[in-house]
Amino acid sequence: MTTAWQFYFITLLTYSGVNIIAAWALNLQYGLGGILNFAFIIFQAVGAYAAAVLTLGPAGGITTFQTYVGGAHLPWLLALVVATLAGGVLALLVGLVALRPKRTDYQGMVLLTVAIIAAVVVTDEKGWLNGASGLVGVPKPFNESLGLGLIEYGWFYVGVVAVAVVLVFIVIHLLTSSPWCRQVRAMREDPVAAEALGLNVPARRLQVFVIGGAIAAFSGALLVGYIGSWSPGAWGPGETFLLFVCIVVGGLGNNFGAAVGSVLVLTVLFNGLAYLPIFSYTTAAEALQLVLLGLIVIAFLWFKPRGLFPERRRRFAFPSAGPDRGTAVAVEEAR
Amino acid sequence: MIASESDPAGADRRVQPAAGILEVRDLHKDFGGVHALAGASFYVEQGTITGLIGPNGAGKSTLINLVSGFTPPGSGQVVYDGEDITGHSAHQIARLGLVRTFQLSSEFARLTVIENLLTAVPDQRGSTVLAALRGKRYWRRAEEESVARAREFLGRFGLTDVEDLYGAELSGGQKRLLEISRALMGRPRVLLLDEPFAGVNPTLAREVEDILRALRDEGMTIVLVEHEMGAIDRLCDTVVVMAAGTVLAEGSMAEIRENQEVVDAYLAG
Amino acid sequence: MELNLALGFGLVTASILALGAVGFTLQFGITNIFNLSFGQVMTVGMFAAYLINVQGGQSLWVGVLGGALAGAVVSGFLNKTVFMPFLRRGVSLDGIIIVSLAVGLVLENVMLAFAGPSFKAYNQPRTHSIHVLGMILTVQQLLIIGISVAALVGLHLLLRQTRLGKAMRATAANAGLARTSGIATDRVTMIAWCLSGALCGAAGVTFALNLATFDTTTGSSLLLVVIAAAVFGGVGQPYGAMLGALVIGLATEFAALVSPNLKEVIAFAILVVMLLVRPDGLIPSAATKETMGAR
Ligand SMILES: Nc1ncnc2c1ncn2[C@@H]1O[C@H](COP(=O)(O)OP(=O)(O)O)[C@@H](O)[C@H]1O
Ligand SMILES: [Mg+2]
Repeated sequence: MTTAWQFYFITLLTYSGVNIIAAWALNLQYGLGGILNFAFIIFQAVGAYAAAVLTLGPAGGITTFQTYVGGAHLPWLLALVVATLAGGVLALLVGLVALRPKRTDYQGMVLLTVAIIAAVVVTDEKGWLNGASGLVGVPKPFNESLGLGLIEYGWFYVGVVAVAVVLVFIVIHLLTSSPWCRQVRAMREDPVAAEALGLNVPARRLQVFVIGGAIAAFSGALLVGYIGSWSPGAWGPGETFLLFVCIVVGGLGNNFGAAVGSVLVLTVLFNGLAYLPIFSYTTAAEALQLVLLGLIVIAFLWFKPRGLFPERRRRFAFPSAGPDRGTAVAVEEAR
Repeated sequence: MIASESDPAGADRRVQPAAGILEVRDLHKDFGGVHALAGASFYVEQGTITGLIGPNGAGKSTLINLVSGFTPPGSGQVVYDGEDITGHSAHQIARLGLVRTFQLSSEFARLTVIENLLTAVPDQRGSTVLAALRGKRYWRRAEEESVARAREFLGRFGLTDVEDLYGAELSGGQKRLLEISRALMGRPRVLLLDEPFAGVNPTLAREVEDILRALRDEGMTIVLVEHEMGAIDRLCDTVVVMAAGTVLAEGSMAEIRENQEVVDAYLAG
Repeated sequence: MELNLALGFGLVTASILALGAVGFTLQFGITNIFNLSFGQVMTVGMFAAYLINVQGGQSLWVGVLGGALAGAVVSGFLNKTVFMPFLRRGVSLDGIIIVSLAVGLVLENVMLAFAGPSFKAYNQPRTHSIHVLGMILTVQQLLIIGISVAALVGLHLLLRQTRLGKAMRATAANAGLARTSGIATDRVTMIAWCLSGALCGAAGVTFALNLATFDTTTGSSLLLVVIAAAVFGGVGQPYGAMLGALVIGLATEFAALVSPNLKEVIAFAILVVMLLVRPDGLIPSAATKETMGAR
C-alpha cells in the first residue's frame, strides 16, 4: 500500500471508531431516552477542547500565536479523563436548563439554540479557545515516548481508538441491558405514565443526558488526539444532524444498528469519499452529497422508520427445571 | 401478594387527624375561567372501594390529577395516611403507595407487556446507574423474582399469552388490564383508577371486578371513576357523587339512589 | 444618543424577528410540528427577491413581495408533499423534526449547488437617513418596520375578524373537535403553512436587506434567533411571539452597545432565564397543557 492509501485507511478507521462511540452516546440519549439532543456536538467539542488545552501546556511560551484558558501539561490519559468529566459537567449544566420544558420537541429546540449560541460565543471570544482559528499543535498522545514514524504512529493510534471503542461498548452494554435502561425506555414512551409509576423522570433524563454528554466528550478527546487541531468549523450543528442520520439509518434504540449506521453513513458515504486520495472535493460535489444525505433520511423515515436494525424485543426465559436454572433475564432477540 | 404493611409516617409530619387513609379537604382548581374543582371534600376508608361518579366535566379526572400530583392544586389539602401530600411531585406520591391509572390508556408502546410491568417495580435492583454498571450478576436474582411476580399478575389478568407482545400490539381492553396490573406491581396501598372499564368487554370487566374485590379483601384501598352504574353498584362500598367541581352527595349506593339532588344532577348533566 | 440609535436598530431587528417568529409559531400552533426547514424557506425568500431585484431589475419592494410569495409556495409545497404525508403516517413529532432538518439540508444544498457559496447583495437605492423621535433610521429600515407592522396587523385582523381566522384558532385549540364541528382542518392547515411561509419569506428578505449581504446559510442562522423569540413567547402563540421578538430584538441591540459579540449571548441569556422561570414560555400553549398530565 502506498503511504497515501495507508493514511486514508488510518484516517477512516480512527474516524469510524470515534463516530461509533458518538453514535452510541446519541443512541442512548435519543434512541433509548427520547431526548432530542440537537446540541450533541457541543459535548464532543468540549471534550476535544479540554483534551487539547490540558495537553498543550500553558498559553504563551511556544504557542504565543494562540490564546486559550486552562492550559496545562497533563499526561494524556489524565487529560482524557478530565475531558470526559468536563462533558458530563457541561451536560449537567445544560440539561438543568434545557430539559426543563416538559415536551421533548421543545427541549430539542432549546438544545439547538444552545448549540448554535455556543458556536457563536466560542468563535467570538478569541481569548477563550482562540476563536475561529481554533487550537492547533495539540500533542499526539504517547508520540514522544514512542518515537514511531508517522505511519507506524497512525496504526498505533488506530489501536488506541479500538481499545476505547471496546471500553465504551462495555459501559454502553452494561447500561442498556439493565433494568435502568428499561425504565429509561419507559420514560421515552410515555413520561407521564412513567412518573405515575414512581419514576423521577426529570432526574432520569438528566442521568441519560449527562452520561451521553460524558461519552460524547470522550469521543471528542480521542478525535483531537488524532487530528491535532480543533476549531468551531469542526462542530457545527450540521455534525449533530449527521449523527442523527446514523442512528436513524442504523436503527434507533439498537447499539449494533447505531454502529452500523455510523459506518455506513459517516465512514462509507461521507469520510470515505471526502478523504479519498484520488480526487479533490468541490463545493458542488459536497452540496450534492448533502442533498443525497437529506434524501436518504427522508426515505428511511418513510420506508424503514425503525432503521436497518430495529430495537430488539426482549424476551424473558422461563426458569427451567434443568441445570440452566436462573435465566429469567432478558434475552434480546431480533425480529 | 399485595403488601399492605402499615408504615406510619413520621409522627412529626402528621397533620390534623385525618379520617380514613385518604382525605381531600376543600380542593379548588381553576383552568382559566373554568372552576374544575370548587371545594371538593371527602375521605376514603382503608380497605374499601370508593366510586367517584358524576356527569362529564364534573371534575373527577381533575380530582385524580390533583391527588396524584399531576396537576398543582389551586387551594385545599390532600392528606394520605396522615401526611399532607399536597403539592408533592407525582413520582413521590406514587412511591408513597398512592398509584393512579389514566383515563386514556398509557401503555409503554414499545416495551413488551412484561417489561411494562417490570418498569413499575419500586427500587428494582439494577435500576440505578451504578447498579447497572455492576452488571447482570448483581441484579439477575432480583430480576428473576420480579419476573415471577409479574407473571403472577399476568396470569391473574389473563395476559399470560401476550407477555412478549409490545404494548402497542394489544387490544384496547388488554391495554386497560395491562395498566391496572402494572400499577399493582408497584405494591400500592391506594389505587386510583380513572375509568378502568372503558373499552373493556363486559365479560372481561366482570372478571376485573372480581380481581378488584379480591384486592380490597387483601386490604387495598381503591378509588375508581366509572360511568357504568351497574359496576359501581356491584363494587363500591361508598359512592361519592360529584357535580360542577363539588361533592354533591356521599354514601352507600342505596343512600345515593334515594337522593333526589343526585338524580336531578344526572338528568341535568 | 447611542441609546436612541440602539432603540432604532432594536425596533428594526424586532420587526424582522416578529415576522419570522410569528410565521414559525403560526404553523406550529396548528400542526404541532417544529419545522426547522423554515430557515431555508427564509433563504428561498432571499433568493427569490434577489432574482426579482438584481436579475429582473425590479424594485426591492416588489422583491419583498416576491420573497413572501416564494416562501408561501415552498412552504405549502412542503406541507403537501412531505409533512402532511408523514403526519398521516403517524410518524412521531420528534421524527418529523428530523424530517424537517433533512428537508432544510436538501433545500440549502440545492441552493448552494446552483448559486454557489459567494455572498449576494441587493441593489438598494441610496437613501438618506431620517430622524424620528431621536432615532436615526434609513428609509429602508423604516419601510421594514412598516412592512412588519402591516403584516402583523393584517394577521391580527385575519385571526380575530374573519371566519378563516376563527377556523384557524379553533384548529389550533383542538383539531379533532374542530374537524367534528365541520371545519375543513386540512385546508386550514394548508393555509397556515402558506401564511407561515410568506411571513418567513418576508422575514428572510428584510433580514438580508438589513444585513446588506447574504448567502445560502443566512436563513438558518436567522432561524435560531427567531426560535428564541418564539420560545420566549410560548411556541404556538402569535402574540407571545411578537412580544418575544420585541424583547429579544431590543435586548440584542442594546447589548451590542456594550460589545457586538454580546448580541447572541444576550438572546441566549434571556432564553435561559425565561426557561428557569417559565419552562413552557410566557404563554404556555394549549398543547403543552395537554401533555402536563391532565388526561
Ligand atoms: N388541563 C385543562 N385545561 C383546561 N381545562 C381543563 C383541563 N382539565 C380539565 N379542564 C376542565 O375542567 C372541567 C372538569 O374536567 P374533568 O376533571 O376532566 O371532568 P370529568 O373527568 O369529571 O369528566 C371541564 O370543564 C374541563 O373542560
Ligand atoms: Mg374524566
